[in-house]
Amino acid sequence: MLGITKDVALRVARYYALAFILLSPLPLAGDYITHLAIMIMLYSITAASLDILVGYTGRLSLGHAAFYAVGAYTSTLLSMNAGVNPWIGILVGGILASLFGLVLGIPSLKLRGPYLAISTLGFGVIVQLMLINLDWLTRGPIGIPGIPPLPGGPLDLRSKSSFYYIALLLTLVIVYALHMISRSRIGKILMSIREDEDAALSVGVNVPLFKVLAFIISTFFAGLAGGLYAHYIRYISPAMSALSESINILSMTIIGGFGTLVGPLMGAALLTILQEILRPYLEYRYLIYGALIVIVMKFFPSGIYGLVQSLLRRMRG
Amino acid sequence: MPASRGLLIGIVAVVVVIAVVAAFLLMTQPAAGGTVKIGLIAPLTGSLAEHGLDMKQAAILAVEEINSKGGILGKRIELVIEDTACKADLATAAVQKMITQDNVYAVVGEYCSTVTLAVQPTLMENKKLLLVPVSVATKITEQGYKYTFRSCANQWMQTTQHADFVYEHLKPRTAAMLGINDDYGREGLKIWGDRMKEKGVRIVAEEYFDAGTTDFTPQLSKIKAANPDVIFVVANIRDAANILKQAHEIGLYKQFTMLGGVTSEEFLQLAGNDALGLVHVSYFEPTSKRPAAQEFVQKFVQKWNRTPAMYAAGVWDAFMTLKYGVEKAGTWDVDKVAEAIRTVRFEGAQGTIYYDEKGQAQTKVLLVQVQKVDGKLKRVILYPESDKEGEYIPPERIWGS
Amino acid sequence: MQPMLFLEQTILGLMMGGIYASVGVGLTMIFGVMRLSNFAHGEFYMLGAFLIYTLVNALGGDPYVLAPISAVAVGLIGIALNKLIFLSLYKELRGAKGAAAFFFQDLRFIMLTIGLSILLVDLALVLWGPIPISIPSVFTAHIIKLPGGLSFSLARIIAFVVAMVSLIVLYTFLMTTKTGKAIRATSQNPSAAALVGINTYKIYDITMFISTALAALAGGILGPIYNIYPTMGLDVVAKAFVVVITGGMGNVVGSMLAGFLIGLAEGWGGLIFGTEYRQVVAFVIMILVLWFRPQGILGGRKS
Repeated sequence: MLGITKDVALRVARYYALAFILLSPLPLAGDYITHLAIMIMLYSITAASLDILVGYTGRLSLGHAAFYAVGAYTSTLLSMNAGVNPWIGILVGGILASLFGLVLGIPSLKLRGPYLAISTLGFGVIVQLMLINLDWLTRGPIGIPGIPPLPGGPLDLRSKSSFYYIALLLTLVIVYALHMISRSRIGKILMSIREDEDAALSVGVNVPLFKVLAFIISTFFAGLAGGLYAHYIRYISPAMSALSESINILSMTIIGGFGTLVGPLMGAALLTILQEILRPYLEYRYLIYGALIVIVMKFFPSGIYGLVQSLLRRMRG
Repeated sequence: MPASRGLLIGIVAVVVVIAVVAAFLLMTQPAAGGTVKIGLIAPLTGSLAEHGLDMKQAAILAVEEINSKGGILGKRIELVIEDTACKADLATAAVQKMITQDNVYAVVGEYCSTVTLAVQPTLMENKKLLLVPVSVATKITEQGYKYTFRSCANQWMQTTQHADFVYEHLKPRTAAMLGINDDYGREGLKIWGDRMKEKGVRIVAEEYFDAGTTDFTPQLSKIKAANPDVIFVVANIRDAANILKQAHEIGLYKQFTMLGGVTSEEFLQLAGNDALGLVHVSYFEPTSKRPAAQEFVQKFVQKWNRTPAMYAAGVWDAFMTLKYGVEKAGTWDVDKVAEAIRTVRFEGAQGTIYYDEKGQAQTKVLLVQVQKVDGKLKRVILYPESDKEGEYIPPERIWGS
Repeated sequence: MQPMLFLEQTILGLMMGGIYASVGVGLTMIFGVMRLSNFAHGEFYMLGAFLIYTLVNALGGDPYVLAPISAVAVGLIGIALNKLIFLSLYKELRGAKGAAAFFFQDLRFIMLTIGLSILLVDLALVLWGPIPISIPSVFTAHIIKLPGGLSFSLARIIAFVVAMVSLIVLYTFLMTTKTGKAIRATSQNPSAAALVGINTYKIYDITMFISTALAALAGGILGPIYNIYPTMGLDVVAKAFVVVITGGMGNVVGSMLAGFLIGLAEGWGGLIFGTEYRQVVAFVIMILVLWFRPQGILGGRKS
């Protein structure tokens, strides 16, 4: 039904195993680098999940952080108020986020381009205001400190290096899942909608169904990443759903290279690291940051991934 | 190009980039033998940058002051400043860097309570002192962390003393509340409203506005229609100035009262004559006659050519807390210093500073009214008696009835 | 509900709506003519206000007198940025359809302008500092009192009148002049416009000028009412987009109407639902309009 052969699935899985091995010595570099790497991975999941929506289906979203926040709040509240195991909480958070995705996906079926961008932006604002105003449930704008860490059996997941391995494993599994989805029949249909909606309709594709499906898949994984974030940082607040966060995630997806899944990972790494490298410049650093976005978008519309690809092609002659 | 090869390229690229950056970031040198690093986190960009500026300037000044007098226990202080833009994730990374890369001894910060709460667990687990100069959320010092110290009055102290003063001196029967829809506004309105209701004052309107709002007339005209005796507002400088201007614009000339978020010279410049008659909390007045305050103001003006706001005073006192704490302990051992800070008592910019068991400074809260003295706007201290500079003037006498 | 309160909110809402309209119209023109969703639009509004502040300091005089100078200056900055960043992209992308149009036009333009917005906000922070500034005018303190306890400041009335006059002038310009007709033709069909001898790239420059100058003018005339600070543009841009979308993207008259609609709805919405939900009201209206009329209240892509 998915239309992927076992052979392909295994071959691709080998690369992910290789990635795990290559990235596993990283905690040796110390807590700060490990922390950055964990943040990169959480952003990678979110940016890659957004790529399903933006890059594969051609549906723009400026409200993706809202789903990240829904996942984080669900898991936090379940584990703190109802004593639910955080792992289950994260899963429920993903499911709830995808329900929110459904709520946003259905009314925005007819919208595209900037219309969709601003509607999703509005959705993000509404979610943030709900997190602030429904304070009997969310504890309001002050946020929630003291979130329990993930239970890790023998591992203490409060330690950055232990969390790193769990996060690395989960990131690779999730990105692998997204990768398989993109190569499956579903992925091909989504891409056909992106290329030409009318043509897809004319060959009998249920376009609305698949558009909503893209929203559900994408928001589910964003919700998972949000849950992981909550139990890692152990403090959340409504600011998680702010427009600037959504823009940050979208920038990662697009600067990295949309429609590739790998691009968003590179985008997440690049932008997170860039923020750190530019740190010493304090007030001046957003001049550089903004200018870089402008330059990349003007000269390399396919993002960093596209740039790396064309460089490699040139090296081969 | 097949996606899996693309993936490989991607992974290799990411690994290479991370490795290079790791090498780059790890090159930061550890502090030389004779210095101790102290971190400052503050919003230097974004919509709260104006307050971050106060904090940054005061921190630089405090460190220069300490170093010019031989440092602490013979060690020079080196300041590490990081911008948070009031974002929890940026702040967490900044603090992690301070701990691992810079090996700071203590961190001073933040402005936003949400950011302070976000970085607090990391700092506490790494046994770093956290000196909070500005964030007022009561919760920060209520969580049982023994390395957290707050050098300014918290929300509960400010708000209850404010409510008591307003009740006793302004004698309102009804009140309206208007607050920014974030942690600062919500907690302020809750505490003040409860306190007033206990005393039998009727709350006739409770309104909120979102951060970034510039037009407050919907809230203000609702309040005008409710006709309260006093209006309690929780807002920062920018919003507060707009609120007063727009209230007068629509003919709302009631008694406004506010918390400490408006204590700066710039506020009086922004609000102009519309600030007349405003009663608000202050925990630092640059006009104070106390020698420690005067010395601080004089040095600040000399260095930065502007009058320090209360945030600057909070930061100054945080650094002095650290200095006196370490000197009293006679060692840099963090447990001993934390113990010592609980027993120090010194003259800071905000007055006599000493801490309770929870690490909350027991600073004096002032209540001031903006009045015209010799044709210029000035904050006149109404309370406490020991600092009193003038009498309360009701709005009817300022604006006519 | 008291009738006076309702009346007051109606008048204030309409006045606010006028400002929304003048910020929104510039945004919608750029979209209509160039298919450019300009997320940096708010920064031109901010630059307009700061330039007036600089001019007042340098030359002295009243901010209202200097507002047109600052608007023209920002308009020229707009043209410069258009030539520097966007011109080559228009040439490259003319006639793009389907996925290519989405990725290499919509998405790329949105990201480009987001980058530009980040850069300009920080530039203002570095140039003018973070401390908010007020630009008082001799008119600021005047309050007009009406019977029934209503009163409004002269500055707000001036802002409303200036916004209205500039919108009427713009409308007349688009409808009657040769350039105005060329702009409308380019907006409806750029290739056909080029065929009949219209220099569409010049039209793009003119549109950019009008759009950024209008935003700067709005920022300038609001300076005496509110205070100015580097992130002030970010606070209006989302609202401007809501206005533009509600009115139908690219539709100038639609944006004017939507400006008033959103202004009024915010005033009334605050009364009915409580002010903590005020910000939601605008978005809910937009979503409702999109649900029933995805093309906006005045739909289509006519100017």
